Amino acid sequence: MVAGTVALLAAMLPPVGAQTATDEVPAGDWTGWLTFVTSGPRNIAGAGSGTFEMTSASGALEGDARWVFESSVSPVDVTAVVQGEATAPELQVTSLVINGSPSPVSASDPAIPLTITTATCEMVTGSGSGVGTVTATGEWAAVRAGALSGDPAAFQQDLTDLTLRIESIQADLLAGQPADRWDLFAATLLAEDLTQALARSPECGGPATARSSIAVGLIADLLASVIADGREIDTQWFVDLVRAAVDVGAIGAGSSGPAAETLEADVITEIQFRIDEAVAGGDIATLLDLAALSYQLGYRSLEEAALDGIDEVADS
Amino acid sequence: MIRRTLAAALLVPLLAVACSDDDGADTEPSTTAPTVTDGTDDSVADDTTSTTQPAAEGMSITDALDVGVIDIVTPPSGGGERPLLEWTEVDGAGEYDVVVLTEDGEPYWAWVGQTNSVVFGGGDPDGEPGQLAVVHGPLTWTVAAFDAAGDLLALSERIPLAP
Repeated sequence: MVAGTVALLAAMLPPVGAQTATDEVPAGDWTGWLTFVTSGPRNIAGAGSGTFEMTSASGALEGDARWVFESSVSPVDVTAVVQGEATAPELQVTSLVINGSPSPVSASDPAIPLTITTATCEMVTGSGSGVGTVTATGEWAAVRAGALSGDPAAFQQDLTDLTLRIESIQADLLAGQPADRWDLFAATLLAEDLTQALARSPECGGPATARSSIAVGLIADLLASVIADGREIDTQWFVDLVRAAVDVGAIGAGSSGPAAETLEADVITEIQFRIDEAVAGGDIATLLDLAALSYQLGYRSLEEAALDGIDEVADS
Repeated sequence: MIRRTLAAALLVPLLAVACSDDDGADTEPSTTAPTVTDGTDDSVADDTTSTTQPAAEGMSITDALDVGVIDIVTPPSGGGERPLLEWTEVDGAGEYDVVVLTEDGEPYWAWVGQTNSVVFGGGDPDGEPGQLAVVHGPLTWTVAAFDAAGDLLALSERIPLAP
């Protein structure tokens, strides 16, 4: 029973990233959302979402969280407390209700670590995958308390929808199935709407360079997975994902944290790889796309490499 | 190094070969080693810190790629933190891609769409910016036009932008 409970909990938990966090939740009161999807057998395949409130003070966190996990078998309501250091948030589950029936929770159950992906004065986000014995992916985000001016329930529903849409794109791409590029752009538009619904906080002063879209973790995960496992994916899709990553602040000046720097370095390496492949294959159309992308991103040496590649193909 | 235009490369390769070898340097493989392939953070900084000059020496990017030039309508300043980025339509374009760089040459914001204008940062043009990207200092931006098949049609020069 204990093992079963732990496995079920794992399926319901917000995802945890693999990056080592160095960012922290700035001091103040925060409102957060978490949303995730799981895959696996029908009792653990589903989606979950919820909210949390937390206060960061003197480098420590405290607060409360609640989320609901829905699968084909049963809805599960979970409550938890937010705890841990400001650099390493944790959720400690305090109650579990399965199909309306309370299920025992042990105080000795391990807390759930949350990895911080980006942190600015106004927003903190995290994302990741691979929790426990099931595959869970998704993200969480928190903004300063009072920043959301609209309907919290509608915001939560849209955030869940956004997560599912991007997860679907990711699954299709990695499965080698054709995906509609405009589905990605529609998702980024929804992400912009959600991000715009979060007001700036007066205590943070004027607009800073670093920012975090509500979708930063989702897009970062999608791009990273394509770089890691999707080299057969058409370059046009890769280029689209890079632009989406800049749009949401997953890479570039709008991003923050070591994970974003690592991802941008991976993007640069991947562009170079695709330039080399296009040169080897005599693919001028791809070289044109990569030259334009490199030019627009300000990657001068890659722009130069793509132009050299065009010359080289033309000479051959 | 004098770059051969794409049109020449595609349409008259034999003529190009015959006419371009008067200077041996033109036919040498590039010795410009990309500084960006080791995946380190330094390499990111190295490649993004200097972006104001076209890579093709003595030739603009549009000449080097033999594509059209997109004319920009938006003035370089005075539009506040959410200006309307606007450019002239390109015949046959089915997609426009905008990328904004910071003063240091780092990518800051991007957009993909089918119209020839967009409010900086995206979202609802009439709404408050919230947490969206805004013009917070000196920036530059470019726009690229593609046809329905995804082929590059035209590019803009790098355009300055300030609040």
